[in-house]
Amino acid sequence: MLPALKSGVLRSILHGQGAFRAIAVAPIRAGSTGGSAEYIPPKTYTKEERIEQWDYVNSVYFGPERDLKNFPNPSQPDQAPPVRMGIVPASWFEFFYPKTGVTGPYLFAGGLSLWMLSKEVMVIDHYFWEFPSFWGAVWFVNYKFGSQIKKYFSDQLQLKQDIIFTRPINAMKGAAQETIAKCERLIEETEVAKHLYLAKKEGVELQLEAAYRQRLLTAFQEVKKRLDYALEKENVKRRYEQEHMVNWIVSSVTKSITAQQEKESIQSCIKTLKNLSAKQAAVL
Amino acid sequence: MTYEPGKYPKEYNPKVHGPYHPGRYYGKPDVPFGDVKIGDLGGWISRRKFTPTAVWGAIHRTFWNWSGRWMNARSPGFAPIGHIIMLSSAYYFLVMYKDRSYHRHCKYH
Repeated sequence: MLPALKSGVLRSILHGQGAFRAIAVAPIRAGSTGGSAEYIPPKTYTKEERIEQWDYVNSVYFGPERDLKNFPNPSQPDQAPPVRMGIVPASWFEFFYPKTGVTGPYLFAGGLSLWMLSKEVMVIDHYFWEFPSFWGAVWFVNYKFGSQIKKYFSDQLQLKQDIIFTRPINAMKGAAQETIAKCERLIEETEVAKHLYLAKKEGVELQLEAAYRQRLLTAFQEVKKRLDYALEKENVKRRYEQEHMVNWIVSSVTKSITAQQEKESIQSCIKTLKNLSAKQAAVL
Repeated sequence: MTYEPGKYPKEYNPKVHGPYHPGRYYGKPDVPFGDVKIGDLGGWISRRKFTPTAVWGAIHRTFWNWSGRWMNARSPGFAPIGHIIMLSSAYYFLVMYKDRSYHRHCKYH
């Protein structure tokens, strides 16, 4: 352990990381030091410190000198190694096979048992029968209920794996999918908002245009009204002046005509009419 | 032997061997027992060490090796339990050997 300590491998353990944290930073009990012990809170690490430590451990365990071929990382096997007759490792039979053939291990076990019985190393007393009766009971239970027991345990294992791993990770995946869908919907909505803005802008511009035209029309009408008024006023004034002048001249002329003049004019008129009728008769 | 109680084996180098596995032998490997010829068996046994620490180290390694391969598999089955039962049977056979030898019937062998 000392070389490992010197090389700094156990730095993380001594600093209170992992399984040894409780030992490293456990508060001293009041009774052991006369009641003057203080609580020492566990050391906290920043993210950078953790990353640095991770990199350091990686550099030790997975550096260029690491021999992964002869010393691979240990892993948990799914099943126990193959066995024969329930509990005897198959590797023992493989150990015997090149030396003695197939029957060798059976012969060895049988011969050993026979020798022990014959020499009474193994005595047939009341203890002896415990052994075959126990294994007979094991065989019977396995024969009758083996598949059920196996199914029960495999179901339990599956259930445990579901509870610990599959269900939470599926729940997390579902939640993540939901979040992604929500975000995509949001992105779509923001894209719609662009068009919505354009449409609203167009509507407002239309309204502004309409209001502008309305005002133009109002201004035109107001100006036209005033101009019409001015024109009418001028017309009325001129008509009045004209009428007045006509009346004045007519009345003046009428006043200036004497009875003599009137008689003369009628005479000349009659004369003219007579001339005209003579002319007309000549033509006809 | 390189084993000292409470300490890593002297041959263990984390830069080469990676995370420590208590069931693994980190020294220079000898010829496996299964490959030894009968003639070389004496030499092979003489190369083994029988100091208490070495014996304890071998037991320790064997236990963790067995534990990792049999007991700590995901679905171990009955085999490791059968191993424990057989081992305790053998242990009690040795413990009670003297008592049971009183029940022998034959006298001349």
